[in-house]
Amino acid sequence: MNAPRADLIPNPQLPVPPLPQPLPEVPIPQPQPFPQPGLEPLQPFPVPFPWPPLKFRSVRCGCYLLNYKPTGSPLVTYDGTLRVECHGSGRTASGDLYQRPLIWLPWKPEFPPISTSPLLLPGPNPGAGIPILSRGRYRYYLRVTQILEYFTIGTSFTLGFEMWRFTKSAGAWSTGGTWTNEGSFTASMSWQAAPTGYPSSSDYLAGDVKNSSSTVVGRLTMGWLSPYLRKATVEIDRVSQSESPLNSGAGVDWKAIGDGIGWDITVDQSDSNLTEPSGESWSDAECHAAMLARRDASNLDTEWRYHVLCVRRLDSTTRGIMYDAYGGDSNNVPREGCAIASHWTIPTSAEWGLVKGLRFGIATSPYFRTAVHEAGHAMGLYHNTADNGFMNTTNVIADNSLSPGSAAFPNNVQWSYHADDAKRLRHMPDIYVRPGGTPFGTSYATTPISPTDMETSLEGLSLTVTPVLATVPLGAPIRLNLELTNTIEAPLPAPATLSMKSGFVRGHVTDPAGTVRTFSPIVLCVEDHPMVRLKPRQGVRNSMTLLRGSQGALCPMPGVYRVQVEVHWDQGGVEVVTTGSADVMVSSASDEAHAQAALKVLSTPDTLLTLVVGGDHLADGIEAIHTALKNPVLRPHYAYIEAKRLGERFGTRKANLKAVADLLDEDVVMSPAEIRRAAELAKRDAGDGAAKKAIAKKLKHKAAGLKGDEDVKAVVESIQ
Amino acid sequence: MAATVWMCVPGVALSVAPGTPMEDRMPQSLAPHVLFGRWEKLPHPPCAHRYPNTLEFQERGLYVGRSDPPGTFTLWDAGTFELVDPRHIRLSTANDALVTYDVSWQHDRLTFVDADGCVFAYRKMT
Repeated sequence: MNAPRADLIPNPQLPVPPLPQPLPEVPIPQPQPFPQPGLEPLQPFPVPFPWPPLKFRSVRCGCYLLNYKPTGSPLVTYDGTLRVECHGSGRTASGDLYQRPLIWLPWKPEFPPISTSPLLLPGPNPGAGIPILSRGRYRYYLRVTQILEYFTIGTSFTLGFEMWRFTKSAGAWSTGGTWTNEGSFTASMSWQAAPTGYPSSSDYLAGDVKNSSSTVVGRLTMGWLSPYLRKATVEIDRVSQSESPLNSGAGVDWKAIGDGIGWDITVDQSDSNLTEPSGESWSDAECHAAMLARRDASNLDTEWRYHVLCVRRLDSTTRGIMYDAYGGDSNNVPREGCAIASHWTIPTSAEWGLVKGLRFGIATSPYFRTAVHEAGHAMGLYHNTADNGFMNTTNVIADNSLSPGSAAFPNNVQWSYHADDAKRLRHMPDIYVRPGGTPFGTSYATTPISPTDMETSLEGLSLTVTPVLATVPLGAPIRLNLELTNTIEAPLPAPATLSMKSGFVRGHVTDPAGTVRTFSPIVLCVEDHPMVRLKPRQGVRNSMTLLRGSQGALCPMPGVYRVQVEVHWDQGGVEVVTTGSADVMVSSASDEAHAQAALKVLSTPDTLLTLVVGGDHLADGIEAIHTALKNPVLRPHYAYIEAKRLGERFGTRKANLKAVADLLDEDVVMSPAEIRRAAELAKRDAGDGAAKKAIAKKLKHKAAGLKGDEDVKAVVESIQ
Repeated sequence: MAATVWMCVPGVALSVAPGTPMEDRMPQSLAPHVLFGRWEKLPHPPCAHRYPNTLEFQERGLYVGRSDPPGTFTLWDAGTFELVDPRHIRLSTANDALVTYDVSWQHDRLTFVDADGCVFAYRKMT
């Protein structure tokens, strides 16, 4: 979703002129009737002239009941929610789909025979508000990439989205699952009168869904339900000596915190007489057992209920813990509850400011903050030290109060989530944030989330991605040439290097089945992020070699892969991204020996580390590369990798230029960056002149075929 | 290629290069000031994936861990650390539990052993 400029948001003060009613009434978006600190409703749009009359429509902020019916599958239908967040840059939206269950009507012998075909159960009742659907029926996350950002004078808009299928791992919920992108889709959504039961007759849309080949694959409907995006209950149980963490003491309570992220949070202040099982301090297991025994409701398929237990002390920590993870999760249902300790004594050192020496339970503000923090872990969030918000740790916030100009702790607490965490709570998949979903510690990096409008592209910069070889054999790394070019007649800022180690470059590979695997640097030179101003037509070049990513081998099977490379950098607080892509064909194994060698390199994680860091210490990686070198199909693709390793000294082993020269034969596959690197290795070594000459000769031959890499040729020519 | 020698000291396994003098094979006494600064994780077994790629110990008892790519979960994301004694360190972890680890220090290498027996090491970044 491209971000319109915030300074072009219409002036909300002018009156809205009377408009005709060519379609069922759709109001100009109004400020929401509910207080929603986190949702900025679109203000009435001023029409600068009264004629011709126009009707403006926009997508109302809040939660929609979503239904998707695939074409040709009458017994398959999905229900769920679409969350539309309104903010200064337009709309960010995301959705989740759950497959509706079927039933088979029972047949009794005394009644006439009935059809044995199953029946679809009815969908959620829109009059009941935001639906809570069964985790076991969870199927898809909708990563919305296009939506009407502000308004239209038409009667429809295009909704663009990716459908990410969730496949739960076998066994309990604590085993997690995997995500697969099933492709990009569009739907031309038209406003229609809502069916009976919806709270707003005019905020209902429907449209056919098309795949990337423009074939209709289903139908989507969305009807507005609530100004909130999600809803949940927080149940608080406590021992009699502990306080209930209900608010900050300065007007911030659970409801306000929920409003800040578009969650409709209800507090259930329940038991106040829990019995201490073994003294004042509770183990994780005792916390978990108390939650199971004392919570008011336990069906997480009908309610998102987070349990907060307040006790005097905790065995595992001082202030609070989200115990429902790892070994503390005795029923293998993740993230159901957390606990806080009211009788921890706050230290008396300076960073604890206004509350030093107090018992934690009577330090109302930090005590409540800790409950919110632990509940944040129960919602799947990790720590975030980027600000003093809810997911930072109390110690870090207290320590930050010692910075010049800071308010004393706890007055320096920021009573909100960091923007990234707020976005996660609004738009991460249901199954990630809801209690009993994916386990705590599921990576943000491998979980889909809708893009934010704040990421922008810089007009005039073009990233070209070209494979060194368009076809590679199974098991070979993919070598890509990258060129970032300024295509306009004015200088533009850009990263000075496209090296993976710079941290600017990352991306993903989509396999023939649509599975996406990401890649990013495994070694970062984080201190050095130089930027340059590219002159008109000037470019920055580099090459990259891809083998594995955080989800394993990037190209584990034959077929056509699309590699998308992203160059990201921060420019004045805005993340700028330029992308380019290339297709690469991975051919099948030519024989059994090739298949075995490919299996070895693809299944050995240290192959990548050996490629990146070299050295003699990664025995598994070196063994895998040696296996590849013994195979005539893979040898040309790994020869340089081994040559680079042997060309650099390691410990007491000296660089072996003779071995390098032997490896760099006529067939070796090298990117321009690798040719330069090999030349630099040879230049650097003062010994073995004969080997150096042989390397120079081979590299000159290789470099002769390069187009435009004059710097590489110059380095090769300079080998003495 | 020179073979790696694995030697066992109580609770800690260390790899040392052949020929290393015996006095250099013994862990040095770990004091808090040794920890301060940035550390990078060395090649490690799969069990150590959940620990951060880089670790920064700060003088006021706080640490920050980072993993790549950004957004990857790490058990040591941010919190407090305390050197309980020269062989044990206690860190607050991602779910706020305080966990004690065996630790040893030799030259620029800090080696941890977790409760599952997973051994992994960090090297001081310059």
